[in-house]
Amino acid sequence: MKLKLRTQSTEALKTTLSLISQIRRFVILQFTPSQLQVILVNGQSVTLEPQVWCKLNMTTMFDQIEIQSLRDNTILLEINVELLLQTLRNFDRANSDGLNIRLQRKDSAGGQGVNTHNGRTASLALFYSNFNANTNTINHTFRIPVKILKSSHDSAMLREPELSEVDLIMRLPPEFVATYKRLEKFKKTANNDLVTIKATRRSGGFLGFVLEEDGKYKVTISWNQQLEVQKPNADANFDSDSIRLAVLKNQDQGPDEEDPSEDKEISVRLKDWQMASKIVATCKTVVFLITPREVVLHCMLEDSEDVEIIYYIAGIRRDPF
Amino acid sequence: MTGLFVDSQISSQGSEGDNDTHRGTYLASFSACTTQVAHLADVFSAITTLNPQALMIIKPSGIVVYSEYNHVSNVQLNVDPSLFSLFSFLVRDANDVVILSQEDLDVPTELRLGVDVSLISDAFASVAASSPSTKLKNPNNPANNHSDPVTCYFTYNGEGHPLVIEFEDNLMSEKIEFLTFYTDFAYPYDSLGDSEHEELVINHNQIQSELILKSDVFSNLLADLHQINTVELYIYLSNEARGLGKSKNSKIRFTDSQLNFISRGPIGHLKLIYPSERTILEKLVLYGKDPTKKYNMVPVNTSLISCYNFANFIKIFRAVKLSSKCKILKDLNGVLSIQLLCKNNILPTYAGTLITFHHLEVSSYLDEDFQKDQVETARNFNSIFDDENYEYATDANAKEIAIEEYQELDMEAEKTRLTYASFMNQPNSNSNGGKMADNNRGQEGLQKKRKREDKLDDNGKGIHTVGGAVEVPLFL
Repeated sequence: MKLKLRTQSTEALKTTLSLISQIRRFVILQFTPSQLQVILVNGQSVTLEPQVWCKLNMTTMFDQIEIQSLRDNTILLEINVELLLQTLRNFDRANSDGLNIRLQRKDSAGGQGVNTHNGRTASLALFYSNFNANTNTINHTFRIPVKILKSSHDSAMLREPELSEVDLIMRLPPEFVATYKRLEKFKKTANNDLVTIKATRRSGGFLGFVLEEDGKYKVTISWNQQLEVQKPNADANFDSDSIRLAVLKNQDQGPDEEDPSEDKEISVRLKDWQMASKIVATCKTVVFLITPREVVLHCMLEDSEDVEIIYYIAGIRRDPF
Repeated sequence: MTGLFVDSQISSQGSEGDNDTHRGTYLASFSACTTQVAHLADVFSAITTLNPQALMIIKPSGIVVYSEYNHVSNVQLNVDPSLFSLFSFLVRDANDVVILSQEDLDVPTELRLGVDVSLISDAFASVAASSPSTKLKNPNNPANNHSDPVTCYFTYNGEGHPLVIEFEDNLMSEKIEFLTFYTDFAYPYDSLGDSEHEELVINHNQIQSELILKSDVFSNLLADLHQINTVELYIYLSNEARGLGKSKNSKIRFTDSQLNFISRGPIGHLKLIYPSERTILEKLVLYGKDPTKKYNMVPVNTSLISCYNFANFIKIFRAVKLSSKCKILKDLNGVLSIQLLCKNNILPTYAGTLITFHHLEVSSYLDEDFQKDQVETARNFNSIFDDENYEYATDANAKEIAIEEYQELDMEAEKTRLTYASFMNQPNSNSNGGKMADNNRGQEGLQKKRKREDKLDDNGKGIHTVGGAVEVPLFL
C-alpha cells in the first residue's frame, strides 16, 4: 500500500472540508488514482443520518500522484477532519511552494500500544517547507493518526445511496440560502423538529417549507422567484452527469395542471436540513432532488466539475396521528 | 397563560365579555402593512425582557403591546399607525357591511389578543437580519443591491383566529400564523381612576419628580451599573438652592440640579453622577404638596431618594439603548414610570414608538411622614444604610462645618480636605465643636479624633475594614 501525493494549492480540499467539518468529527477518505472521495456516514445507522459524499478530481488537485494497493489501487482511511483541516490551513499560511502527503505506518517501536486500541495504526503525514525572514528553510511535518479500512465489512457499509426514482429536480439560485436564515430561528424548539418540504411543478413551480408547533405557530416559507421544477425521465440514471444535463437542458413535457399527484412532499429533520446551509451558501451550482424516501442536494463547488458535494437527507415518515 | 385561574380583575372584564356576546353581530378585523421590519424587530425585542407573553390591543389609534412581570413591573409598547403604509381596523355587521360610525355603543372599538411576543420578536429579528446580509454577500451584483425591501403584512380576524404575520420580498414569502390565547393580565389602564384597584400605573395627579434625560448617556450608565453586579439601585435627585461662595450667608444662590445613581452590590457602594448639563439632563423638577391647598403638587427645591431592585430595573436596558429620549416620572405611591421614545432612522417623519416601563419602588419612606413634614431625605437616607457607615451629608453643609472648624481653630490648622473623619463626626458635631476647641493644635486634634474612631471601632460601630482596605465612603 502506497500513497504519495504532492500539491501546490489545497484550496479545493480545504474549502470542501470546511463545509462539512461541522457535521461529523471523523470522515472517510477514499483515494483512487482518479478521484478522492470524502465520505461522511454514521457507522451505526447509515439510513437515518444524513450522508455527505464529496468527490474531488485527483488530477486537477495534485501534481504528483502515486497510489498503489492490492484492492484496485484504492485506499480507504478514517481521519479526524478538524486535524486535517487545521494542517491544510497552516500550510496555506506558510507561503510554501508545495505540500507533500504520504501514508506512513506508525513506528511500532516508538508509540507502541498507544493508538492500537482504536485501530489508528497508521498516520497521514503532511509536510512542507518554507523560508523564514533570514532565508533559512523550515520544515514542517504533521502526522495525523488514521485508521486504514480494509475489511469487506467496512467497504460494504460505504455504498453511496442509489437514486432509483426521482420525483422532482430543480436548480436552486444562490439567494436561496436566505431561507436557511429564516428557518434557523425555529431550531430552538426541540420537541417538534420536523420540517415538511413541499414542491410541485404545477402553476409555474413551487418550493416551500412548512413548520408547525402545536399551540404556538404554523409557518410557511415559500420561494417567490421562478423555479424550474422538472420531472426527470423514468429511465434516466442519476449520476452527476445526467443530473447536470437534465438541469441545463430542460426536456420537460410540462406538468398536468389538474393532477394532484404532481404535488410532492417529504418531511425531514430541521437539524439535518439546516446543516447543509454552509454548503448551499458556498457552492456555485446547487441542484435539489426529491425522491420518495429522501431529499438530495447535489452541489458543484466551482463552475467546473472538479469538486462535487452530494448531501443526502433521509425522509422521516410523519405519523398520521 | 390560558386563563385557567381567572382572577377578580378578569371576571370584572368578563361582564364586559358578556356584552361582547350581545354585540356578536359585529365583527372587527385588522390588517396592516409596513416595510419597517427592522424597527419593529427592535421594539418587540426591547419588551420581551419582561415576559415572553403579552396582551396585544389593536385600536384604530395604533397597536399596544402590554406585558407585566410579577406585579412589580410592567411595560407598554405603543406603535403609531403612521409606521404602517396601510392600517385598517374595520368593523362589519352581520350582513358584512362595514360600519363607519361609532355611534352605536355596541360597536367594538378594539381587538384584544394574547400573543407570545418573544416568538414574534424572533420572527422579525430573523427577517431583519437576513435581508441586509444577502445584500452584503454579493456587493458586486447590482440586482441584489436594489432588491425590494421586505414587506410585512399583519392580519387578524378576531377571536378564535390566529394572528397572521407575513413577510414578503421578491425572493420569498414567510407566513407565520401565531396562535392567540387569553391572558390573565389585567390591563391597568382599564381601571384607571378606580380607587379600589391600586394599579401599577403612574398617577399624574401625584407626580413627585420629573426627569428628561438623553438616552445614550443613560444607557452607558446602566451598562456600567450592570457590569459591577449591582443588586440595589438608589436614584437620588436634588435641585436644592445652594449658596455661591464660601460664606453661608451668600446672597447669590443657584439651583444645583443633581441626579445620582448609587449602586449597592457585592463590591460595596458606587455613586455615578449623571452629568447635569442642560443638553444631557434636560429637565429635573421635584414636586411637593402645597401646604395651603390640598392635593395640589407644586414645584419645590428639595432632595429625593428612591430604591429599586436592579435585576428587575435593568430590563429596561434594551429599550433605553434603542431610544433617543427618556422621561422618568415618579409618583407618591412609589411608582416609577420610564417613558422611552424610539425614533426610526429610516422613516424621519415617524413620530416614534413609545415604550413605557413601570417599576415599583422597593420601599417607600414617605407614605405617612409626608403628611407631617416635607421630604426628609437625610433621615430617610440614613435609615436605608442600616450599617451606619454611610450617612447623609450634602457638600454644602460639609463645607460649612469645615469652615466653622477653621474659625474655631483660629485658622491654625492646615486646610484639611473633606475626609472620612469629618464625615464621621458630623452627627456628633455638637460635641465635636467643643473637642476641637479644646485642642488648639490641629495635629493633636486629628490624632485624638483617630483615637476616638478606634474606640468606636472596638464597639463595633466604627469603620469596617476588609482585608486592610477601607470601604470607600459615600458622599452625597
